[in-house]
Amino acid sequence: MICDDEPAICESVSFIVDQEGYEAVTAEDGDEGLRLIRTSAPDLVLLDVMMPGMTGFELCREIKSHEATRDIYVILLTAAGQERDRTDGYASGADEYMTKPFSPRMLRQRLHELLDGSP
Amino acid sequence: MRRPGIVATFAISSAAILFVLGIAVTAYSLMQIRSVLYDEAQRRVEAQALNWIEANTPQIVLANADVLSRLIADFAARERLAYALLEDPAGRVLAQTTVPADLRSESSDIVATTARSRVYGMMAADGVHYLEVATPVSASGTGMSRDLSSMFSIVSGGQSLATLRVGIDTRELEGRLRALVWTNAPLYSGLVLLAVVIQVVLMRRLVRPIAAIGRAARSVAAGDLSTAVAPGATLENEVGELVRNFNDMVARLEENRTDMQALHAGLEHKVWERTAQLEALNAKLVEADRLKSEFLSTVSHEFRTPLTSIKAFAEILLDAPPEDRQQRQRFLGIIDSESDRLTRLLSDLLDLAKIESGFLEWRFAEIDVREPVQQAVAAMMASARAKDISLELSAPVSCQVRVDGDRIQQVVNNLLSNALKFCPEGGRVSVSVECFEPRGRTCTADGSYARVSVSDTGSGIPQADLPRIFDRFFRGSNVARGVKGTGLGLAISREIVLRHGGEIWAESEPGRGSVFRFTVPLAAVKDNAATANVSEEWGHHE
Repeated sequence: MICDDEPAICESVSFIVDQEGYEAVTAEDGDEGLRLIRTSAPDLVLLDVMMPGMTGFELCREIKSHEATRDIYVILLTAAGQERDRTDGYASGADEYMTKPFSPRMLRQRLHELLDGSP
Repeated sequence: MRRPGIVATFAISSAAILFVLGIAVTAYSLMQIRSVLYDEAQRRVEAQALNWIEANTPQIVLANADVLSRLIADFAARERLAYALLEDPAGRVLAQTTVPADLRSESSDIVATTARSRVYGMMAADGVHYLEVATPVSASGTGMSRDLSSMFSIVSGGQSLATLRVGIDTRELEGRLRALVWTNAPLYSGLVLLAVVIQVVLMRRLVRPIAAIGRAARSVAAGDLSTAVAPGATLENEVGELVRNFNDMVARLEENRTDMQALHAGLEHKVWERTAQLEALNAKLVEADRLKSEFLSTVSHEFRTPLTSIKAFAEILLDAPPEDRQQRQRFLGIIDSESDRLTRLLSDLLDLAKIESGFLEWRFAEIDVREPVQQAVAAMMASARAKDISLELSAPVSCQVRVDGDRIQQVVNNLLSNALKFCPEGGRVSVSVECFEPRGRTCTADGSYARVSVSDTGSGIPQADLPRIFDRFFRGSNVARGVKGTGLGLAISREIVLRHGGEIWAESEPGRGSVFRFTVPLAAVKDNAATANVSEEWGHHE
């Protein structure tokens, strides 16, 4: 599942996910993302940090604090690349942290690592 | 050991002076009295001797030793003489009383010479001093003559029959002198004591104020300036002057200290005030700093977002381009529009920075405010038509303003593009220009301004967002997704309007659209001056 308030980014990421052979769903903000997670139970969530409403950190914490959703992989995508944000990101329980602009090649690699257990 | 005080010192020194003076005076007086006593004694004895000689000259002439011895013994006893002896010119004793043993002259000198006698100082073997008066017995017929010249002629002529030597015991004289000393010494000592007591009393009256000043000075040194010296303050002498001056000085010190304390308190208050000012300023700076880093992080975010899309699609197209040509076209279109977005963002940021830092060149000119508004509306016509929005302009009156026309056009542009963005298809956007002149006539008074309003029939702005919509990068909570913008348009508009001395604000009722209005002051100054001149001329003509 991809959760980003920027439609162009949603589109590019879902295209990449699609190309790699996974099924992609998109959400425009944190609240919608949470609903989607509960209904469609994705294997992995790509989260933008700065979103209107619920932020990526909050959503990540929400996912990691519930028994049912704890095993979902979370990759945080953020424009903020400062060291503190990175620490906050891992502190909220994220499995991976990528700064924008990210490289689709890296994203493909990470997807395979997390979902198939191999590069 | 404590040294004696002033009073004691003066008392001791006076006593010493008076004592020494007393001794000296006493010694001198005793010498004088002594000489008087001796003098008197020898005169008395001489007179007695003469009387005796006068009365007994016949017997002396007869030189009857027995008779003479009896006579001379009677004489010595009657007059209480130490001794008496009669000797002839050859030195043979004719008659005598008991004479002290080993009687001899103390010196060969004659102590004194009276009218008819010579006086010698004699000393006996037992150390007793005697005063001896030697009186010659003349051989004149009667022996009654008292004529001095004839008397001495007889003596010198060797016609002296005999010499009567009479001794006076000086112990009696000395005893009288001693008695005199013993009676006077206590009296003198008492007088000295009285003088010293009087001096002590007087000195204490002077010293008491000085001691009080000493104590007061000590308490002044300890910081107590409330004490005034009471004793001696009314004295009409130097000490009184000192006391009064000291009290004045302490009072002046007190005044100065009060002034100093007031000054000090003022200074402290000032320091406190300045510190508070500095703290407030510092808080402001800290806040400004915080806003700046927040702004930087927002700007960074705003740049990264379009860059992310560009990067992602570019890499997709490079690595694994989609089969579908249309999809490839679409991806390229996104890259293109996101690049435009970056460019707009950059130019808006630069505009804002230039305006805020004062580097922007303003080209102010006196124009009709309708000109830039009309231009902006004309430029937006096409986009309005594309969205099937009716764009109307109502500008009935000319409004002369002194503005930078391009910048005002930029403001109207921003407001219009926002209005078109948020206005649904088939809606209406209207622009109006009004001229407000409180005096109703020409543009003469302050408070006259032109107002430009842009209203739309969009969804409106929630009341809570209204105060923040002019902030940079603020995005309304109900702004639909996909609505693109740099987030800086309204911020730039506000800066431009403020620079013109005007105001900008928004009014909105959710669901019923919103109105953005801004004002700029009318170019009144020139017209005003012209009008004033004209009326003045008329005044002269009348």
